[in-house]
Amino acid sequence: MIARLLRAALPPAIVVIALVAAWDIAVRLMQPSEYLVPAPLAVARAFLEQRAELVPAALRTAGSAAAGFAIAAAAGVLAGSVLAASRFLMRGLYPLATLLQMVPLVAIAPILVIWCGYGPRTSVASAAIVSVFPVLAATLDGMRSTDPGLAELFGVCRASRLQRWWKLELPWALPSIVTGLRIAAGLSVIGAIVGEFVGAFAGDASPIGIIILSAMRENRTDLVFASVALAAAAGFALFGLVSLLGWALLRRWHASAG
Amino acid sequence: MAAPAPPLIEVTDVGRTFADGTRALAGASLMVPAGAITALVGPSGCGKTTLLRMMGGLDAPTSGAVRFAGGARPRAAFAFQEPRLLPWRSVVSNVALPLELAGVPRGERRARAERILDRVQLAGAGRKLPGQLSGGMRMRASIARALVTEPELLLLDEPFGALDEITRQALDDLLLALWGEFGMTVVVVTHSIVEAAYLGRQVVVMAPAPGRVVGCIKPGFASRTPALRATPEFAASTASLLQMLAQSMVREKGAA
Ligand SMILES: Nc1ncnc2c1ncn2[C@@H]1O[C@H](COP(=O)(O)OP(=O)(O)O)[C@@H](O)[C@H]1O
Ligand SMILES: [Mg+2]
Repeated sequence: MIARLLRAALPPAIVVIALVAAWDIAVRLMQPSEYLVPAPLAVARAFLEQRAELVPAALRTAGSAAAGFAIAAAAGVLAGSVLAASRFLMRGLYPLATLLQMVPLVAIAPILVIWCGYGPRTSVASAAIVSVFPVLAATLDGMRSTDPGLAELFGVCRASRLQRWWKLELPWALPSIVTGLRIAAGLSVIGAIVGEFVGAFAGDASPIGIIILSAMRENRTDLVFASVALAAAAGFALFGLVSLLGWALLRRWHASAG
Repeated sequence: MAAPAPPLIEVTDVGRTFADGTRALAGASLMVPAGAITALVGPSGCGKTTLLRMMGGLDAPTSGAVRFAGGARPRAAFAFQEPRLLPWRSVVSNVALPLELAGVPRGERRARAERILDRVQLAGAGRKLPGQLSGGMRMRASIARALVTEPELLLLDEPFGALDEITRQALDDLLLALWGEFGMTVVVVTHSIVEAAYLGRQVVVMAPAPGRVVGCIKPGFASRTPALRATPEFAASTASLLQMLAQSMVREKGAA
């Protein structure tokens, strides 16, 4: 188990270290201004100096992303299930959902501020909106691929609609739903930060999106880099958590979990 | 010879035309005696599955009638060519599924599932997942799931068709033993003449395009044990089944 984890973690770790080293060498050779591209060490220093502010900010952003993700997961699975259950609703609503997905989030964000006000609620809503569609689509796809033989078996046993959903369609769709959730986990952090860009306060309770904006205004590129890295780490953590959950749910019977 | 058993199911002049115009059955008639095994043989596409689904209430004839003794549909259970087990459930909870869907309390359905698993020689495999079983074991689990509700009518659609010959013969003998114990009426679809002659008190031969019944033999062997397959009487009944099938094919060619 630990050996397998190490074997999985080693190649990406080596790639990351190599990239940072290349970045460092490039900065030393080409000597760009600190304002354009800071050296890795400068970024690390900025992080250490500001960590008392940065870490809580990243946690606030991660919290908004996680809350938005949770809402999107529940709404996506529910909506996907309803659409999968009714051919009429699917024909009527799915194209609409696809269309809504095309509207750029940045364009809706100001509307979210109008509806949810300034503060974390806008970030949560924004995170939920970007991550709901992959969950919905994955649920719908997974449920519609339910084995017809098993569906017939449930028919022979006179299963109720609810039994069919809970005991057949939902577990059948689970591998697909987990894939959708993993995509949604990554998107939710992007959504949260976009929400923060338009609708968060600067001050004691700043999330990472606000820190990025104010560091940019102060020409602190090193701090921008450190914040971005922290935001990426938050996204990665959420993605990892969801992947772990999926693995735990599927490992006994599904090939994708090895 | 014993008195003929009263029919549990009476299929009279049944036709079935699907929405796309396919005539799966036209004028099929047969009797299914209660408490006996009836085998349906015929080439693929002759409407065997359609007929079986009608007996189980999953489909209805477009002409003719399927009638049941006493007018009420017997409690029926199906087993299909594929085991159709839920891959995420243990064998025992797969077997208990029909009871679970019918609202039987957990403790009781566990006990009943364990009991029937024991009868199909899967007592030790209850906690395993279907993916960990061999094809023959999965099929036995599927039969156990069909029997767990103690049905009056067991409908089997080419149940052992995907298995190797040795496993298939073992499962035929297991089926006979279970039938001897529970006494339910069995209708089994097969395209193996040997299997049909071995299992069926009555063997119904069907022909395709459109699906119909072309004949019926009643082998009437005193006992059905593995040794029976090597006897001349057994060879005689498979030969007459083969002839019936061949004749139906010739007639079909003549008509075309
Ligand atoms: N739902 C359906 N719609 C249209 N045609 C069907 C349907 N089910 C079966 N058929 C057709 O009816 C015929 C008989 O099918 P089936 O009863 O499955 O035959 P068998 O089990 O003997 O192979 C076949 O030609 C098949 O393609
Ligand atoms: Mg068939």
